[in-house]
Amino acid sequence: MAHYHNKTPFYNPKNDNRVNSNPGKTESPNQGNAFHVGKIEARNRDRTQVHNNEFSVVKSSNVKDNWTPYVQPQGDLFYVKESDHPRRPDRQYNYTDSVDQKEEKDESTFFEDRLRESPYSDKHESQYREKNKNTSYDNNPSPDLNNYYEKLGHNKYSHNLYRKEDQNSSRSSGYSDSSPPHQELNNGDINHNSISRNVHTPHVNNHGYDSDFYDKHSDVSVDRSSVDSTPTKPAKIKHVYITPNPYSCRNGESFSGIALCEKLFGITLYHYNHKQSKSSLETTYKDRKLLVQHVSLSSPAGRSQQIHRGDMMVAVNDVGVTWENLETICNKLSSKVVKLSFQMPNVVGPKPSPPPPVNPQFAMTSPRPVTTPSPRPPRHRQPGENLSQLVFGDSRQHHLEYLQDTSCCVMYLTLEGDGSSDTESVREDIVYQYPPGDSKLLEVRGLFLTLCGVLPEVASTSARSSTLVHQRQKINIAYQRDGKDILVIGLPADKVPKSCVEEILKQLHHLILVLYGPLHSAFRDMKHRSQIDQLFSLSLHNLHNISQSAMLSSQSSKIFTELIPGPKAINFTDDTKLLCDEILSEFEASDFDDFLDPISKEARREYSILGSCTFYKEYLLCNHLCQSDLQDIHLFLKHHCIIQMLARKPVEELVVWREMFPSQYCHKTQSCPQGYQDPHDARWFLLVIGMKQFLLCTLLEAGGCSRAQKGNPGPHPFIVSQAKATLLQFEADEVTMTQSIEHRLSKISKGPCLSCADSVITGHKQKKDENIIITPQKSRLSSKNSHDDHDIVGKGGGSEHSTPVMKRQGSKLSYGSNDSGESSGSVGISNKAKMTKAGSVFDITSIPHVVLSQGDEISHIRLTRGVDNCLFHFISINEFEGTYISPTQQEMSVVNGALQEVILNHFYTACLHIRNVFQQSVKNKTKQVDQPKKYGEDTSFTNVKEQGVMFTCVIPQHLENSKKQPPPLSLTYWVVGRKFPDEKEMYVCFHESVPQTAIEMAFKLDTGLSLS
Amino acid sequence: MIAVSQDDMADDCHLTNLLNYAFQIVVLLCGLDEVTNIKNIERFKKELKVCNQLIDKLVEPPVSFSTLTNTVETIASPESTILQNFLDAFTEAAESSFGCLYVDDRIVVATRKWWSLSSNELVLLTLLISSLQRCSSRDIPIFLPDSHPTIPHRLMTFRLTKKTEVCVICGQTPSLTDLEHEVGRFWRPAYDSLLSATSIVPRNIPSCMVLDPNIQCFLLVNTETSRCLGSVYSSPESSGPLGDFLTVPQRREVLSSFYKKMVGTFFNSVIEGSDTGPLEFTHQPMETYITTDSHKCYALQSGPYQLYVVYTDSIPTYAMRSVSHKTLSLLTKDKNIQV
Repeated sequence: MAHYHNKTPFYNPKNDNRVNSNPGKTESPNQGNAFHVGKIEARNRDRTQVHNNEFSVVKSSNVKDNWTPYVQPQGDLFYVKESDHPRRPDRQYNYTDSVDQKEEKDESTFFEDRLRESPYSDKHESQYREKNKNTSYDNNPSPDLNNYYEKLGHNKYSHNLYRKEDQNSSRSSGYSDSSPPHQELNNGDINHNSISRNVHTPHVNNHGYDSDFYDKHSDVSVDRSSVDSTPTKPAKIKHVYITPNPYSCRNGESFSGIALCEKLFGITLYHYNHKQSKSSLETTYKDRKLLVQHVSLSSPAGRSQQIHRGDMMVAVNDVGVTWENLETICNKLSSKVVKLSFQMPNVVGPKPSPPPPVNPQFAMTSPRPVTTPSPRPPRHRQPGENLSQLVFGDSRQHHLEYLQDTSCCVMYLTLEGDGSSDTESVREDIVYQYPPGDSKLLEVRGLFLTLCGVLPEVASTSARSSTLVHQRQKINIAYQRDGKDILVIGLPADKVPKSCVEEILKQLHHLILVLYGPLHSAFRDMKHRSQIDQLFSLSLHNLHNISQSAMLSSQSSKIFTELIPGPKAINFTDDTKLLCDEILSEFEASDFDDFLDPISKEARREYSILGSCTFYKEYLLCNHLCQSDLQDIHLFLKHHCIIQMLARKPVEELVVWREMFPSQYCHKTQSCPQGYQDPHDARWFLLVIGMKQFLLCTLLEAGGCSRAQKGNPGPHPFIVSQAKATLLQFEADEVTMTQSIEHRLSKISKGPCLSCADSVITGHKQKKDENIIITPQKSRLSSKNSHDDHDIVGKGGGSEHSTPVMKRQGSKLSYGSNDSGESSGSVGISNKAKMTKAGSVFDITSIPHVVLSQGDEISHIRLTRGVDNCLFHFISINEFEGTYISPTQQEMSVVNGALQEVILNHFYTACLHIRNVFQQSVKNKTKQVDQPKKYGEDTSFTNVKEQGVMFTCVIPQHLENSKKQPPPLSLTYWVVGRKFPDEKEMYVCFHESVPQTAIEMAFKLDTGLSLS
Repeated sequence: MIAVSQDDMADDCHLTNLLNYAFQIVVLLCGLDEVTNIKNIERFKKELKVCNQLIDKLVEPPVSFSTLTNTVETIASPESTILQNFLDAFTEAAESSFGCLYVDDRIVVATRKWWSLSSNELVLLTLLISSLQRCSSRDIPIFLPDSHPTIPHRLMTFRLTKKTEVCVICGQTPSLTDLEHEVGRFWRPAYDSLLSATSIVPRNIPSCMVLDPNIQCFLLVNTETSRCLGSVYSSPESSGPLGDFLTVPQRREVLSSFYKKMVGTFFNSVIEGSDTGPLEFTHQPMETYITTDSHKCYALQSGPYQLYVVYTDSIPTYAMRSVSHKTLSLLTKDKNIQV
């Protein structure tokens, strides 16, 4: 709830006692005499909070656990203190008082020093200076801030490949170029200075993205008197040209000046309390200033993005305006462009420490900053560095060195160019390379160019990959050709097997297509460089980290999971799923009417939400996107290491905003069916909000049914705040998502139980779970074949109700209501299994609260028959949904052991091979069978369903003090992969206890489908 | 030497094997000296033309199992002991110790010294003989690539019946005409045995041996002795009551590609370089299978033996293992089978 302050009878700058308030002091909301407010708009208290610099308010919440350290109760409201990072000292408005000149000077030089350091400064600085001629404000370090961000090398804008920035078109169309942002204000008096003042103003300045997405307006003329050392400075005036909206006042009513102003421009001015003593009315009336309280987002003023709260209106069309003549002036306005002049407030107070130098598109803070302790002045960092450090705890230098040592390399070469290269620089064909610097691969790039250029002419196929040996080290290279250009990646073979290199390049290629459009524009356009650098740096770093994993099994497992184009999912109870679905659906419904001001309500919606998905740590919690969108977003998160980071530690707040070109809209390979067609000229944006260990990714569309966005729009603060509110709902009382997820993760029995190889070897039986009940399932689908004696083991632990309930449910379940379109019998049985498991939960939840706790229990799944459990490991990939399931860390840690590690390593290596066979067989399907075969052409395996490998492990036994050594122990186990017709794959590893039944287990693998 | 082939997702060792054979063919027919010291390119090119046909046989389908597995194909004939006697006698008469009897390009019996040749040489000789036109007798100079790459030998072949051929490797004597006269004398009494040996072709196993009806084709490889026994005619071609069978060329293809998939990634075999893949595993893969919608394949190794079987689709997956084991024991325990 916004904390508006005590009303004062009138505003008198002389009485303003905020000037000397102490910096750093925490201001309570009731202090301070800022503008007095005549009218407090009714705010909706229920839903969300207002982010302030330091205080946010959640609805009165009883959740103590997670929030206590951050919460500070005041009365019946709770204030949540946000981040731990260096607190900004208080800054205040002051119109007349002096500004600390010295500090500003220091500031500007401080920034300029940084500018010089930057490697991009030469190029961009001049450009920027030109652009910024008219718009920089003197005492406002924010232009330098803008500059600073630009110097960081990344763009302030989300990229727009399809529309050039049209500098002069913004007069009436809405988006004008940037005005530098205001200072953040830390006092309790004034909330944010940025655009909108409704309740859902996001916590802007901690992230700093707000400041960077303003375009520049070249028409704003400012009095750029230089900073001088006189105590009183001339006030800064800015002129804004906007087209008023005449339609809203056409009803013939006569409005008062303030209302008129509001209707025409969308500027809400502060009302004053009219209950004055009449004697002083005259004088005060004249002295009254016209201060902007609020600017509606979708109004002409809001679209200009230059009018902010706290501005004082001084003139309209160069006619001085006061409280008295406001009405007359406004009534005389025609609908042409109006020039409004505002006086900017001076900002006093100590210089703010610049926000943490982060990539504005990856603005985030962490509760435990890994590298920079707060007292140190933030140093100028490269964009990727911060992210890498936060994720991996590794310095960039070290990482670069590693990359060069092991000759990892990504190059974008071009075949164009004239043949003569004696005088020109030899490096003309390198359009882009990462890491910068020389490497052996770079020197032999002629080889790659020749291969990729010549092979299509000779063999009518394009080059995919090759292997080099350099200094006894094998390097795998993969190629992707795009017209005249080639994208090449080289990775050492001992870290990444050959088949994986191709897949990794394919994923990176896909990601670049999704983020930037066609390859050539992505790499040739200089403005994308830094982002692409960051992408490759993180991605290669991630690969490097994988290979550094201590255990071989985790190495091979991570390599395998890298190749799966989808996130890891986990099976939750239906309750949890339902709640997640509800929360997300509410957000996606975009029913924000309650929070919009009237003007915005009438305007066309800015963005429409296409879908969203939520992650917790590295698991996909809930997904409302279609598979290709989910894959795009997941690739983005994975290659920027956001998921990996989230899996390790919570973030305080993360906001990412990118324009993207989702593959299903922009890179469609098939033509869309008749009827509804997706909008051609729409733009799509990705918004990622992270909080704690939750991540909410939203795909927004601009165009089509929502308003088309021009230029490079920044993240819409309203939607950002809504998204944050949605995330916070996960933490609400009734939901307590974290708890239930952690509960699920720690409960090892929720997934199919694993057995430990070491214990099998040593004959040490695992402690039997006494609560396991085997309920034989009556066969409902007698038409289906042989698998009618399916065992689903119900966990009876916890309550006595479960046993009778389960048995009762077993007989009541009805099948067949689910999709029955399964073709193969085995999959149909999975259907049945799914119903069984789900059915029990559904029925239980229909019984009210008594057994509600049982509704959380997922039946204890056992995939194997026989007395002993012989399942070592499994992984189930669902390509249709784009997710995969495998045992959680906790489940694996129970059955850990030395032998288990080796077995897992073999499992994943074998899975790689098996998956290759599956993929090859899919490719083979499309080849023609009739043509005479050539050598090596292999189309004999076209529809591989299953492949298995049996491993034998012989462990010699040594007994001391015995003459005759006992025979060595041997353990045989299978790794079987099965491909289901509906785009699912499942790989299991199980111990071969009894020869016959172990293989029969292959049939039971389809019960794994019940996991998803 | 450069080999270009379609990507069949098999391990690289197979292609390397092919290259190796191509080189050795050149050595076989031209001698190592010629190859290493090429004095005149044009002349060498002309000489190389001799090898063309053989190299074509190497890559054109149907690819024989012997080049695939680097082992020589044999045949399991019940009359092998009898024929061995005949062969020994004949070889002695030819003043040599290398002698071999081929039935349908597969070795029935061979002398001991013949078996001592390297697997490459054995395979190459088989390939050579199968590539040449039919004639009643011939005398070819060859160089043995592994044992005597620089010394030419004479390879003399004589066609005994329509499908059988006897070969000896000799030195300078005796001449072809002399030996030709001896052929009739030595081999006429063996005619019946030869005929019976011929009769088991193309099934390649004695008719008394009954295999599981689901087996479409199989390949038994002995990595120690470098011999293999393959049969693509284990079951009739037409569709039986148990499901559809593949045609013979298809079976051959399936078996070859299955072999290529397994060796190099999971199994290691006589092929050079095939152990780099399996070395990734500290536990040795012993058995493996693939099922598709048209057939199922099973491979197992036990001791020096490797068995690759292609089944019909109708066999239950869990049954493949036991059937394969049974088949292996059946094949290895039979005394007729010389693998």
